[in-house]
Amino acid sequence: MLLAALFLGIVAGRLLRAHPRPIGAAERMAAITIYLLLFLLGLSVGGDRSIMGALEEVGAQALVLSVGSVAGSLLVAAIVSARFFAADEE
Amino acid sequence: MKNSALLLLLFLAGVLAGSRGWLPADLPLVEDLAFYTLLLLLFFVGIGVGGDADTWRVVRQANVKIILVPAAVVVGTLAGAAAFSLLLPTVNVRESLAVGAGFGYYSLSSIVITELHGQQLGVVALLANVLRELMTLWLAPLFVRRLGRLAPIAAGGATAMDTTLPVISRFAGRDYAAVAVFSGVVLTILVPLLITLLLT
Repeated sequence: MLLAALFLGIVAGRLLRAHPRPIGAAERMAAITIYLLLFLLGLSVGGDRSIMGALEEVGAQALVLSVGSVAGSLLVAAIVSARFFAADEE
Repeated sequence: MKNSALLLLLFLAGVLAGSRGWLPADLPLVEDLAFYTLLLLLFFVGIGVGGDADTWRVVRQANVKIILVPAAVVVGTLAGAAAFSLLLPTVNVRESLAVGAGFGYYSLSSIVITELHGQQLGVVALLANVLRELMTLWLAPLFVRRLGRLAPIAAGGATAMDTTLPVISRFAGRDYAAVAVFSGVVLTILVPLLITLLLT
């Protein structure tokens, strides 16, 4: 369902390409919705003692996964770069 | 999502309001609405991506080689997140992959993960993907010097199309900006797709 909504949106956006106004409105709606949902996520996190009590653990997990994601990306990108983009690097 | 500072401030304002009890943390109406709000949000995000003339121009002009860039980011991120999840006894591989699949797009990934899996992992996704964006902003010059011009694009993930594009363009070169936008657009679309596939 979530993916159907995303694809419907992309198709609708593609069809509306020549009309910047509805597209601008949709982007503003997306921004406002994200603001609202992030505030609400903050609100329920703030009210959740088990998460608030585990902030250090949550932060450490985020740091580890973030470093892992970036390191992995850099590694594979360096291989791709050396193998396929060598001419572009000087 | 360009307004990173505002997004984070709103999240922190929510945390403060919730922890001090200024506002009730569990508004029942909000819980019920969240899924439908998310549906609408993804629809609007799709319109933004599909309706952006630059997106289609960059995609049309792309040569076959350029697809290797977001592909490398997907493979590298997921492999890295899975490998590093072994350091975390309380986070399993599937959860780690979902957090990694945010590719730096922390607002959308944290919201989708919260809805599909739970709040705590949603917060991990928020922080991990914010850190990814910050690391790219801070370390882009180092990445270019040590690992080449594709490196900051890879580190930036989905943010390479907007928030980290200025530093990428500056340190990797203007001619790589189109590569960055292409990679960012592809990864942005993949964020809700991969997370949904991983968590359902």
